[in-house]
Amino acid sequence: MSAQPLKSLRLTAFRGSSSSFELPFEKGRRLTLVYGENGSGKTTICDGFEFLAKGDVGSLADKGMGAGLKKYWHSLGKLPGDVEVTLTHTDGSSCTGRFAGVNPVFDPEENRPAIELLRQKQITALIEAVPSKRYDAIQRFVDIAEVEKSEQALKQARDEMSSDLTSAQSEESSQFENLDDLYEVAGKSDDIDAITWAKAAVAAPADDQSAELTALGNLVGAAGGLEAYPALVEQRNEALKTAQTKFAETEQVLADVLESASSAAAETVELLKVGKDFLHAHPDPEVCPLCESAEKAVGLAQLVETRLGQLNAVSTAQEQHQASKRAVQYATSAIEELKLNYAASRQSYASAKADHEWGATVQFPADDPPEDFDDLATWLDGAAVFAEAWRNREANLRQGDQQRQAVEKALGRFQQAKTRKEEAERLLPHLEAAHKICVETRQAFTNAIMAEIAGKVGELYEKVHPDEGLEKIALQLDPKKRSSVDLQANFAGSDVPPPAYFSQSHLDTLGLCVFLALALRETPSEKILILDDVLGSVDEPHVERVIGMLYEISQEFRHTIITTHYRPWREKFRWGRLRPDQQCQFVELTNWALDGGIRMKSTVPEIARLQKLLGEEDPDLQAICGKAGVILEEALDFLTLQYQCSVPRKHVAAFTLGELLPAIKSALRTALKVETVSRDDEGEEQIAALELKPLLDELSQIAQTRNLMGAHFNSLSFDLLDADAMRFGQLVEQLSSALVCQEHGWPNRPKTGSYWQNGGDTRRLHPLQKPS
Amino acid sequence: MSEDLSPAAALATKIGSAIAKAGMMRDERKADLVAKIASGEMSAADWKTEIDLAVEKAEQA
Repeated sequence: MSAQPLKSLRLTAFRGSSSSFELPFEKGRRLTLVYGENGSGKTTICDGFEFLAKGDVGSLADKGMGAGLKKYWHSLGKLPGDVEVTLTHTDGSSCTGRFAGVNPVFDPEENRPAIELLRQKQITALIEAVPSKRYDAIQRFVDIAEVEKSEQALKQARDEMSSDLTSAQSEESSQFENLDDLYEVAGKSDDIDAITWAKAAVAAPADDQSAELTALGNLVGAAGGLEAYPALVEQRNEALKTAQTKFAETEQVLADVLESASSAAAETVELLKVGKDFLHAHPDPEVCPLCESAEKAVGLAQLVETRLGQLNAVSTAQEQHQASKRAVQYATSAIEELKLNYAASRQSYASAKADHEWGATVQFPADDPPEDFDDLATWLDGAAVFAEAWRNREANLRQGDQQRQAVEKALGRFQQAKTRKEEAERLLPHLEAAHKICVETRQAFTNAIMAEIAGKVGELYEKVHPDEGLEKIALQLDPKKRSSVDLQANFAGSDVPPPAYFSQSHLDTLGLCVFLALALRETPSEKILILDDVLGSVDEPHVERVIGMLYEISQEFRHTIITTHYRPWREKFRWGRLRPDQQCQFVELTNWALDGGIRMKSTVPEIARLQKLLGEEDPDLQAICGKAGVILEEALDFLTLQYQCSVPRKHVAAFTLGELLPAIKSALRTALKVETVSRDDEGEEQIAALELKPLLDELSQIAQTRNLMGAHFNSLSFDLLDADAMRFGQLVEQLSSALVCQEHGWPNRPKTGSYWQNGGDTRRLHPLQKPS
Repeated sequence: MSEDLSPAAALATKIGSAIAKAGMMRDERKADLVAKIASGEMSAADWKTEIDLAVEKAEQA
């Protein structure tokens, strides 16, 4: 974005510029007034700037033409490709906008201007908009949404901490009640509170009870083991008894079989079994192993098998007898094994009893379990009461351990909650304070911005409507509604929305002031301010002040372009009465034509016109006298007004030279002096003084020349010399050039207290007061 | 109004200064935190941590 002074704006085939139009900007003048009748091309100039700055043409919007307005950006009969808008700067750099296809492109992009453009149709938009729309216009100055996110996070932190505090307090209270209940169960004392008790309980060594609990577990287990023996003894004695009975029975059966078989049957069976086993090991003996006869060796195994079959009953009886015998031996062994186990159980009991130092709460039977387990049942009967006590003691201890764990857990939770509560109590006030700072700082920040904007609006409005602006305009962010701005103005002592009571002219002025106040907030020195015919509805008494205000404010912008069709503005410029505070460029647009497009013509001040007439080789005396007469009337009108000279009272204040010249009496004439102030190359002030009395005296003598040669046909003019007419014109030119500076106007300001001066202090008119 | 700072950055700077002055933001962290406030990246945890540490520092001083 360039901030260089402007040199020219060239528009080709763009909007109303159907051919090529160049608006040159005069060097050193940052205010350009563009005057033209409606349809002369003023808005096209504004559109050109908007095209370069924003790639848009806002003048076409809201005219019921729908979307796709780019097709109207080029001039009628031209193509988009013909469009070229170029803004050139005094350093030779420039920015050109064209169409590439359907989209505009800008070269170079970085030279695109920044503008603030206000059109007539937008002037009251901000005033009459709903508050949310109004916020949109000022949002860029108060856009703090991201900070509000951070503020919201701080609020969340505060709320979480507050919630944590409540939760911790509740938990602490709940755990205290738990501990108090446990304390009650454990036997509450008035000496200490539940927390002190719980801490002491948790701090007490836990090993004592756990050792006893372990020892009790062993003791109860050992005792329980002994309790099983009486049943086992009975069971195994019964098994032995049964085995012995069976053995006796098989022994009798075997005896009876042997008796019925032969006296040697039993031995024979035994012998045959031995032989069978031998022959199984030696299946083909060559001789009988008993008699060593070879002829009886053949078929010997078969023979032994046959003989054994014959003696089978004896064999069965013998096997059953052997089995019953083994059963007796097994039952006897089982009883012996039980005795050994019992001895081990007795040892376990003895160990469980001896391995712990029992307190008084644990008692034992007077005797240990008997060595003979046949006596155990009796001992167990006597010990049953002790075993019951041991089991109860063990259960109590286990319950006590659980209670201790419950106390420990509750105390831990209580302490955790207490720590959390203390931490929250420490931090919460700071989080609340920080959040309060955030909110208050934000509100003060936004209020200050709004107040600054409103103050600036009021300051500007005051320049147009004295006593109606300062401290009477207010912009406020509605705290209940996001992104909403209320606009209030004091009207007859009451705060009201301006559209409710303001005249349209006042609303327009207020709208202009709001726009300017916002435009001034953002680097105005880098922006071009463009006001497109915004003075249309301002009424006559205020237009002078509006123009004055615009003159002043234009100084703060990179350049200011004001277009108007307000004719008095042009006339005031021509007569040097346009508020003469600063230099400005005045451009007049003449009739637009399709083939020629926008046309500009020179707006020459009247004095310059007179100078031109006087400088012609063949001067038009009638024109000189006519022009000089009008200019002299203007000069005398100024002087008589400035010094409150007496002139005849008339219904319409249109005075003739014959009335005005005598009104400047001798004392005033003598005192009248104009100093023309300029500066040399070193900046030193140079003053050229001119006494007005000689000019006015001579003009009084030849004033009739105006009427005789410049106003009417009059044969008396035949007697006048051409030199008289020229002299009249020259005197008027000398007088008016002394009084009026083309750049800074008439000396009508009494600021110094010594003389009248114009805005640029290039003219100083003496005296300040009419001599008495 | 400063021409260099966005409204959010200008406000964040004011907030940072006010909170630091109240002892709830450490000077050495202020620049970073102001940037986070301006960009909306300051979380609830960030606030808690910074205020906790700043208050602790102030209490120790």
